[in-house]
Amino acid sequence: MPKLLVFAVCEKVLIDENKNISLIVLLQNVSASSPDKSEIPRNAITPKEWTVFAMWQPAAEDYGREFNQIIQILWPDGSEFKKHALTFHFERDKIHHTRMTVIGFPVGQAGKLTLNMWLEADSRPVGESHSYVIQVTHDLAG
Amino acid sequence: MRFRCPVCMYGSLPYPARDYHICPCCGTEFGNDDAEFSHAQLREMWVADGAFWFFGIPPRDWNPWLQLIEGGHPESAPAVRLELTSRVGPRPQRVSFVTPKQVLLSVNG
Repeated sequence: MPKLLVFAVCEKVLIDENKNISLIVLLQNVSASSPDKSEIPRNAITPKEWTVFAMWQPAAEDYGREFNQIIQILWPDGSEFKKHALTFHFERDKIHHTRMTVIGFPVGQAGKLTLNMWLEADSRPVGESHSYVIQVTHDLAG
Repeated sequence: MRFRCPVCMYGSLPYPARDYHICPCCGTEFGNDDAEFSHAQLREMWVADGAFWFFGIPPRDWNPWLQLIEGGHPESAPAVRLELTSRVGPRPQRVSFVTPKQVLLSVNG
């Protein structure tokens, strides 16, 4: 079973010519405010790009198998904002990383924006589901 | 084949945006509404009215702002300023590595 090494959400992922990876600004707290201090619409999405990054280490039996990495993004009220599946194979003796760039950041609801991620093989979950939470607050006063 | 509405950027129009077809998302009647106003003006009006779905039940998880952003009109999404802050505790702990020579000096000194 593949072992999850990194699961992080950040503004940007940089990869240099030697394939070194840098994660830029991990998203933890996001404070949103409208310019005129009016209430932010409950379904508001702001045009910001952000990235979901994961790194997996395969076990010997994982080579040659097809895996689907599922990423589900939930609004604070639990409704689904996005769900994305990515199919990949492990290369022998190599750690596999995935990047998903999301266009548009959901800011309409204050609370916990939750990202769930898990692997599937043969349409069945493999291992446990992993979560990353971003706290979204609305700053209507300042 | 699916077509994109040039007003609200809904991407699943069953017909091209012309010949008096009506977009189920923003309600624009092509050939009529866009004879009087530009697509940008119609988009502005739809957004000012709240960007609601026009006809029937919207697709599951439909979001007008995401549709506009992904359709190349991020300027039409609500103006929201974002500030990113950290939840990490006091300061990250720093682990210093010392060379064998420094260790030796430390023991002797």
